[in-house]
Amino acid sequence: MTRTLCLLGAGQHTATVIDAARDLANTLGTEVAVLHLVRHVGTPPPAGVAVPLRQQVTTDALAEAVTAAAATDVVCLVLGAEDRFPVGADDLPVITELATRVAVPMLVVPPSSVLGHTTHLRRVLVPHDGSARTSARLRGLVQRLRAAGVERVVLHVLDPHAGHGLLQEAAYDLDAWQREFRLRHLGEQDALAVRYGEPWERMRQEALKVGADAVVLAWGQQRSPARAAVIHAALDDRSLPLLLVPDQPRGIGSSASATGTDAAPS
Amino acid sequence: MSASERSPDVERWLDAGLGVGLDDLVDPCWTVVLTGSDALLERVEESLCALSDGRFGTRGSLEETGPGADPLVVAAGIYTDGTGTGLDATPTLLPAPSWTQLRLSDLDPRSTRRLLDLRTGVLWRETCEPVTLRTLRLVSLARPGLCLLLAEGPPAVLDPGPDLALAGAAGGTLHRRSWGTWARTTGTRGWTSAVVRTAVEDGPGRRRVERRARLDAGTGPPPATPTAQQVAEQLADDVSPTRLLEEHRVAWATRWRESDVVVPGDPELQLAVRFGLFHLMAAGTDHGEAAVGARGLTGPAYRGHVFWDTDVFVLPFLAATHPAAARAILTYRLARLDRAEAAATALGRTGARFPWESADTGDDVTPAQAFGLDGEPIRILTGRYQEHIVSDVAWSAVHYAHWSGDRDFARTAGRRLLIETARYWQSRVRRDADGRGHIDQVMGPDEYHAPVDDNAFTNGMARWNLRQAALAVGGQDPPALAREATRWRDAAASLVDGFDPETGRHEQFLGFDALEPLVISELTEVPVAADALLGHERTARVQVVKQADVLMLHHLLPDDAPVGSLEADLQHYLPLTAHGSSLSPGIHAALLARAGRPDAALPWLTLAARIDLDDLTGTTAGGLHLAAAGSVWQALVFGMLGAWPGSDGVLRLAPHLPQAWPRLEARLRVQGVPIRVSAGHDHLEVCTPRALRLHLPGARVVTEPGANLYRRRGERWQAGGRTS
Repeated sequence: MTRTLCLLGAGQHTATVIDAARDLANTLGTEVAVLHLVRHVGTPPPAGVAVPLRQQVTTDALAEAVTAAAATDVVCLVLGAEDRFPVGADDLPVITELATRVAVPMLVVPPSSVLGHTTHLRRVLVPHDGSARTSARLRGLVQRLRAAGVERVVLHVLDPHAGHGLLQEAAYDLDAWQREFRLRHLGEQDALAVRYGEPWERMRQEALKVGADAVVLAWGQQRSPARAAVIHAALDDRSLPLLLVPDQPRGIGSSASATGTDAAPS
Repeated sequence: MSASERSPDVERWLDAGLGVGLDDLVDPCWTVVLTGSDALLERVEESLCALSDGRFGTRGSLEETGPGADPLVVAAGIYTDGTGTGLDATPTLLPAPSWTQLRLSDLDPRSTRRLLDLRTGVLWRETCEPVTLRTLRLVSLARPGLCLLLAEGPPAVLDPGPDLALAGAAGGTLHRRSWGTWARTTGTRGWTSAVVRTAVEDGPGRRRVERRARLDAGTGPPPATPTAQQVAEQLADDVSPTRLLEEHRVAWATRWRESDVVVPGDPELQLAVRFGLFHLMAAGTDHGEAAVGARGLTGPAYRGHVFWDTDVFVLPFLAATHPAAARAILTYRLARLDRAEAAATALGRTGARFPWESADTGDDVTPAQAFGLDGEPIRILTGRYQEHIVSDVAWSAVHYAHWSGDRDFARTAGRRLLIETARYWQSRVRRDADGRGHIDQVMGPDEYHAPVDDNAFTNGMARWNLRQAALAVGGQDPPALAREATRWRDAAASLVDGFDPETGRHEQFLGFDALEPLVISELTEVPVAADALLGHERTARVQVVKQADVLMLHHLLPDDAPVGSLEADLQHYLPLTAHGSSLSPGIHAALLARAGRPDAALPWLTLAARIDLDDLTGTTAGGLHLAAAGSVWQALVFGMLGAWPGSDGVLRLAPHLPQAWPRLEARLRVQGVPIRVSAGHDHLEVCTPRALRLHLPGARVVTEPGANLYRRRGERWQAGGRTS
């Protein structure tokens, strides 16, 4: 049995994170394992944890988390957006650093999440830049979500500051362009939305508009501002659960693990 | 047939089958090479590699039609009713039986290369792993409707499979006979059919497949199943495949001799230019009528509808190189003049009002609505307001007549077109209390603003249309017509055109200058879909132009604009233009060159030339942008060479070449005379078989047979001798 690994630190929203982890695990058909990274022996476990929990004493939470996530049966990682972990002498956020170093999809749960509490993972927003690389990164996870009955709304945002090649001939080219985008990047059941504007802002608006329970973001795991502006904006925003899909995902992100029968590219 | 047309690979093909490696065929100025097979890009590559004889188009799908494939065969002018809403409610090209499929197994698509040889109109394919398989495909230009597919490879991977496929062809029937396979697709407005025979020849470890297909289409009663004898004739059984190939190559060589444009020293641009010319030549037939859709016969986008793209962007190239094909486009319009007249009558007007989008009947098939970025329905206003199509059609007739010297056309059908379109404008012009003429509630080429009053392009074209019609009326005509012509002249003289003598430029429409100023090129990188960036409502409130509008008037009517206004309008409108249309960059390149700024023109020309090869719009999968290809030719010939056919039968030439180009050469046909124009920075050579009148800056000359040399002296040109 594969596992969804839930990382807990010194955060205040433990129950929220565990609820989301359980819901994701349930959707993906995995078990949940909770790893509580603590600075001191004898640190009490978070209250109300109803799943098996392992405590690990450490002052290098990042290394411990990377090692734990590398276990072959771990297919997905879950942690709180505001959680802090023992790193040296301090308790620090490790999300960005961790996201660049793990090879499994990582769900970042904001304090406001109700996933697994009052809602379940039924619909995700999947921003897509239209590249083959993004389709490749998303393929395995999206097929798993599809197989689990999770609705997908694929969003392409035209960034006015980036420039782009869309030469629009009245409505025709938009129609043809969307048709081609669908054929390239969407499964038959996936919905497509195309928006214009500042990418993360439009993603956030669209997620709220379609009632997405999470946003699935593929990225190249390069954290320079120029390469990961959307990821940084999304992590800073903390309004929606984010499922970050790494460059060459394994576990549930791997194409080979997909159980869906739809042969669509993503 | 010359030696170059009978190039060695024909003989090698005879000797070694398809053993000719693709490497032997690669020519950076003539061949488009696509490497690998990517399901994401397959539909783009199918468009790029489409083959057509002007009547039938076959997309360049791989024979095994793997992931991502969208194989399509269509016939020009054969439609079926739409079955959906929005865009899907309008007629669309009827898919024909597909003849290119083979059953290929265990091939590594990554080792596939497709090579489109523009010179010969042949599509080659080679897959090298794990075994070598090669195919050759042509859609015969010499025998329209006849198609040939040759394949060679090990029997284990090469199975011809069924002769024909009907995937995507609704209403299809397929019949196997002793002589091959016959299939038909039937739509609500027409039918297509194909007869196919596949021959297999097995040798030691090698199989050769030869497939011939004959396509047919029509709108009347469909034909009965052909007899074996008819099939033998249709498939040219008495002609060897080598002979078919040779005939096809000769036909293409002839077209290139009429039409080539040579850009020395820039192989990438050269190839892009020829790529566009190839597909322009393939888009139209020489016989009967040619319904050239916005994407030609290369894909399903725009549903095969005919726009002004055909009249204003595609036709000039054909008129100047292969007039029969331009005439076929005009025949298409003329055959629907009665529907245009009915459309005018229905609106309470006189004359003929051509539709913004046209299909088979000539009625307007512009969709009523589409869906925007947010999925909200958007009313499509082009069909109602973009009335400049009326004078665009008239302009194409006159332009054809000026290039071709077809006086019979000018006296008869062309004159009728001019008169009926002028009658429409006469009934459309509103006179104000001061007697000034206005055309209210229209949409110019700038589709961001509509409806508007007194669009400079619409009014300018209407004025020209009225005057041209009046010129076509002479003393031999009935007095009533002569009186009508007088009214046309009066209406033309009354029309306002937005030109302000103080600023020296035109206002695009009444009130444009009062809109909120916005320099789109400072706001974002262009090309950009400004309406998507700013929203439809805000776009309508600001000074942003979708594509050449005032400038299009300069482009089509260079002799009508006030002196100096081209430069003033360029200065004013270029920064305001979003180029939110593939039609825009090439026209701006043409105008910048004509204005003496060829180096500024070059980036726009390059952009226009690469639109499909680089899939810059993200829509090439749906077919090629023929109008953009036409605009590239116009940028080179009208812009860089400064070539323009005068109404007096005199060809104007005024070259302006970018510094990086040593020379530019074009083949043209003027008044029936095939010529070669070769321009450098300070010299010009015009090769003609007989005397031709030219108008160069500062000089009027008459060529002699042979090569005529002219040299630039400052701003003037003068004869520099005849070379041979």
